[in-house]
Amino acid sequence: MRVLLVEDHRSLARSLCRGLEEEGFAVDLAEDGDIANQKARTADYDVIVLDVMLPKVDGLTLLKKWREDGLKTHVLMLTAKDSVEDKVSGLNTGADDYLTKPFHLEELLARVRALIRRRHQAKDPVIKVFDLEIDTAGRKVRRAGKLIHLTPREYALLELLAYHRGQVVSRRMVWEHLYDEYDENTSNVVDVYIRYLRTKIDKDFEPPLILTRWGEGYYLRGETD
Amino acid sequence: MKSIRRSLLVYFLLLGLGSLTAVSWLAFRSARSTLEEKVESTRNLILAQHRQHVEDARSAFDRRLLERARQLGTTLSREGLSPNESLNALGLLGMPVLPAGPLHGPLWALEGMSPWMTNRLHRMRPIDMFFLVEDGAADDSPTEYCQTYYRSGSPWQRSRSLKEKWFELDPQLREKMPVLEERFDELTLKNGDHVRRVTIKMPKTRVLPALPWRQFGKGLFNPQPSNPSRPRGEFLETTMIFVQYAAELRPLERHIRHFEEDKTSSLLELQADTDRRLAQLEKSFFIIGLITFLGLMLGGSFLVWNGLRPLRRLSEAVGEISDKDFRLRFDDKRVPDELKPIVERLTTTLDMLRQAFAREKQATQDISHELRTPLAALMATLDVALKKQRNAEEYRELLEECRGSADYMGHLVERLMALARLDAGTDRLRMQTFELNELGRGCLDMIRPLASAKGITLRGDLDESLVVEADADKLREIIVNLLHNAVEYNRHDGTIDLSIRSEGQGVVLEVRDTGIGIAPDALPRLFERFYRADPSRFTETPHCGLGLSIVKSYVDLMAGRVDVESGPDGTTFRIHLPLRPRVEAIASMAS
Repeated sequence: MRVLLVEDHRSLARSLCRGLEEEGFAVDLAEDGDIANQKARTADYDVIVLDVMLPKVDGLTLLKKWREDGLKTHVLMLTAKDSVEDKVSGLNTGADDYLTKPFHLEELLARVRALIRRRHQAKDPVIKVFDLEIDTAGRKVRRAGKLIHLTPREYALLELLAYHRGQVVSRRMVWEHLYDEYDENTSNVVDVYIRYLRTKIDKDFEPPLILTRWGEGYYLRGETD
Repeated sequence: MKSIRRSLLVYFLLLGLGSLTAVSWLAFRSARSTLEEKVESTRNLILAQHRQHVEDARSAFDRRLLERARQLGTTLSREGLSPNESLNALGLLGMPVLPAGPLHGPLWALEGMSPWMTNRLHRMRPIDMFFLVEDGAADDSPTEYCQTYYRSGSPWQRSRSLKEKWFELDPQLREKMPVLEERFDELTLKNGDHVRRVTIKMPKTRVLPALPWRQFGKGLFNPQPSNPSRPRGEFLETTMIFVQYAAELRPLERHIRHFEEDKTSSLLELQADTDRRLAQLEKSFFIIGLITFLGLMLGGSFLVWNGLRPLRRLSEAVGEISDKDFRLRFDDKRVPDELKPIVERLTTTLDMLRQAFAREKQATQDISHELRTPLAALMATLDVALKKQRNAEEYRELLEECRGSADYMGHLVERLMALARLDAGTDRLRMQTFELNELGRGCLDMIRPLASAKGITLRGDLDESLVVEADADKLREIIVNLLHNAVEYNRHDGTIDLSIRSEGQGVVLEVRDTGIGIAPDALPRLFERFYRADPSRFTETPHCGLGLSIVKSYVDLMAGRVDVESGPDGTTFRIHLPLRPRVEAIASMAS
């Protein structure tokens, strides 16, 4: 899942980037309002974490402009102000969630995940595909009750497929959602990760859940397949 | 007294009561004196009337006495008085003659006189005297006595029977009394009757037969010279009649007593009337006073209430002031002149207070905001560090990150503390003597790495021989802050000029950069705490909008002045400090 982090405090930005990346998120960083605006309009982010106080263009103005222009990406506001008016004004502008500094990293991660679920209209944190269970909250994967260990990137790929269950996910989509702007685009990296996933999930079980549609991409077996 | 209203009311009432009392007292006194004058005149009138009555009664009494006496005298002098005539005369007067009974002559009238004696007397012509006694029949008609003399002498003095009814006639009076005069006197009869008597002397002429024995008595009786026309032997005898007429005084006294009683009762009545009227006057004055006092009280309360209304409104308006709303809701147009200074002062004070509160609130918000972001960074870094097992290199990296955040916060707290100390006035200048150019050079060295990272050239124009006595730490802080700002807001490859020189009575520090300049609308707020022309500019270095604020405070503490000039090609901060260069120090150094 790809996240745009808009934060001008470098130390905080660095730590958040690291924390999010270690959870398997692809993170793009923007240090001021202009850059954030550019990035948000060029890539399809799953969540934008937006600080309110920003150089050049402040967070609220930015968010207002996005909503006016029809950008529907879920936005989590970060602010140092904790008065009710500030929260209300943030939410009224179109923020989907609100987090006051200082906060715990876990809380931020949980809220980001919740926003992603909301995007895919999934209320239950556990996605079930036949005998495969994906716990999006605890990031645990079981097949037939057996815990399967996945690397963050493998997990992210599986989650992406799971959120789009029954639909073909193209390599480009995988790329866009799983890799940040600095990752080198090598054409077969997605295929490599699909192979890893198949080894861990499909090898010892029946039926195979990760299917290939030649020339288009991959998809997770739906109810009707 | 605590309440203005109450004290005003009390003073008002005291004043009212005092003047009311004075006015009432005066009015009452004048009314009373008028009344008393009237009463006095009435009393005088009564007394005069009384006197008049008494006098009238007396004079009536006297007149009657005199009239009777005259009537009697006239009768006696005109007639050759025969007892009968006399009696008739007396009878005309309507007086019963006592003792009752047949009388042959006047002497018969004498009480207890024997016929013999009477006869004897009768022979002794002329009749010298006769005496009548009349008793008052009715209560109010007094017992009257009359007595006449013809001649002098008192042949009946010895008469015991007459003893009690006898009027002494003073011999001297008898001689000296003018004819036809009357004399009044009062005397007590021997029977105890108190009588008033009138004595008149009247001439009586009578013809006496010429008798030889009469001749020799002629001189004795002082006869008139004989009238030649008269028969011979007869002569006219003129003698004096003394008529004494007396009446008992009892009825008069009764009358007078009666008048007296009348007067007394009138006076008593008058007194009672006066007392009553005085009491009435007092009562009416009391009631009028009470009503006036009540009126004063009501009026005074109303006046005081009305007069204090603006004060009350002000108090209400002040009462409405809360920590949420610092405005004084008071209509300026209706403020009385006396309250205007208070209202104006209060409005100004509240305004200042509101601004101070707003500043305070803003400062608190700013401080919490400024502290929250580095704290969030610290926590995020710690969370990342704790999330999983890491190698030593990673831990080190994360800890350094934490250290950076903590440093930032520490620095921020330091600056806040410095400002707080300045606010509290506990910060004092710690004077020391030093070379100013050395200090400037040190500051340049301190900032150089930062500047060269941005490609900025630092230039120093430092007066070599400037020794001053000042607080070196604060001066260093000022210069470093200004240089820091100059680096922060400078363009890449720009320059910064630091100039320290003595000028006039003091020292001028100047920091000039080649940055983008400060927007004109930001200039007035430049020295406010947490103010940044660019609202969010977090950088690696702690710079949180307090630098210029601290610079300003320090310069103020040193009694200096900060000037800012800013244009599109750079900003200049110029600080004038009244620092006196220490010439003797320079001299000693030179030696």
